Amino acid sequence: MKVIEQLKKDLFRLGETETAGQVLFFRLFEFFIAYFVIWFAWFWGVYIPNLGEVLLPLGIANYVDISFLFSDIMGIGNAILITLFVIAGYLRMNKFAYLIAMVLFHFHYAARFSQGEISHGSNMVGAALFSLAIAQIAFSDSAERRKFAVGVLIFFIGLGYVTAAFSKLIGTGPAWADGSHLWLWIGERSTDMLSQHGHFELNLLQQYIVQYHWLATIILIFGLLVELFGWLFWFRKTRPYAATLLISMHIGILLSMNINFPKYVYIMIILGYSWHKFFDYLLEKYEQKQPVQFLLERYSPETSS
Amino acid sequence: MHKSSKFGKRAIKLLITIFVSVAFLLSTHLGEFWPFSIYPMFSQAGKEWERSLVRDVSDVPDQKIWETVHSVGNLQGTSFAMNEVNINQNDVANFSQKAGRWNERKIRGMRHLFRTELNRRDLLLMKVTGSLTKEKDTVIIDYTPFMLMKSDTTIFNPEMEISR
Repeated sequence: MKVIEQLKKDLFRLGETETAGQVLFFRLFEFFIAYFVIWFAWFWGVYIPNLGEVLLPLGIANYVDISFLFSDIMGIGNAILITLFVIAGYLRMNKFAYLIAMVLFHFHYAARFSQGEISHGSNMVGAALFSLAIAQIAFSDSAERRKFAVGVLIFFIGLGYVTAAFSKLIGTGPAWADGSHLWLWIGERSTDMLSQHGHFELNLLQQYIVQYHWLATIILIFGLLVELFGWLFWFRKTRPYAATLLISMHIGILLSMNINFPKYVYIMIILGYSWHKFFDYLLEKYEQKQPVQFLLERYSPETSS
Repeated sequence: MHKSSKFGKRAIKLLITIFVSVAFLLSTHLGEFWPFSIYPMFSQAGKEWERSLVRDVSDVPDQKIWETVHSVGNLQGTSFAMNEVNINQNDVANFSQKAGRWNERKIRGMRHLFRTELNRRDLLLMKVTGSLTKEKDTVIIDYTPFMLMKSDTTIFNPEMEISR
């Protein structure tokens, strides 16, 4: 029970009065999420017209024929709508704006990844938008909205890594960490790179991995353990350590398998460390509280006192 | 009731509700309901994989096109990068792998991906498979020609059984 109480406290910062640094941190975090959502919306929006057939219905596509989205007008049109609703949400013009952006974003994802690939590169950004949407609707106090949105996202980040580790242990068992498996995946990824770019060469780490089986095994054991302990991201004391290990794991995945999840790393950097303390320190040191508070009041109209 | 404790109770109730809803969605949609997932990628280690590769075979004689090869160096034609048509290679690989029955609509869907190039050159879509040897000490990769796309026609590998 003590652990559950601690978890509640650490996820939602219960009983804490927010500092100016925490409010500033949240608005910056929200800004990054809004930017990432708009980035995906346009990146996918211009790509979707290339597609012509739904091979794998994902999410809502199981129930709705989303092939109507495969046109220039719909792809770009949906990107415009997502952009407008995200901006409206950020400026607090309507409390349902983020939710509408979320639904449109889901359709956009289902259209973009209708060709059989299940991409996870945007999941964390989507989960962040979902958390912001629910917080806007469920709470009227702005401080509570901020605490809830961040808490829910942190919970699902930690949970996602743990389920990833269990998927591996259930799908293969402890033998998952056999270095030969990494060789097989490097072969797969080198084919993908060759196909995408027309050329491919193993980098230095990959050369060592294919040469030394023990190194490949150690890398896989590290990855599995880091994911298994992803729940440490939930607790404030262990969060920076968990974030550092998870970021290291993502860098390792990039170097060994050329799989890049940059938005995951950015969000981990944003949420994994106590940036608000740094902001509070700067605000105090340079006595710039007034202009910053003016900005917060101007652009975050619901900022609680 | 203290404001903070009221918020705490509401927040945890809402989190549990979201968690149960997400668990329901994931359990009824094979672990994927964006933006939530159980993240099962790479969970089945050691399994043979299948990807794709496209080659420009405009200058390759017909009798040589359908040869299966076992190394990149022996591939027919010249390399063709998906970047040239701004297509993500995962889409092509998954399309060729999961299409099932190759009816006219699916053939059109695949050709649509390369529509800007097919008037200029002949493209050969190859299926690439990788597996570990029994001793698990070597990765074997095979490159099998699958579909030849020309400006006015599409031809499947005559030695493969293709469901149409």
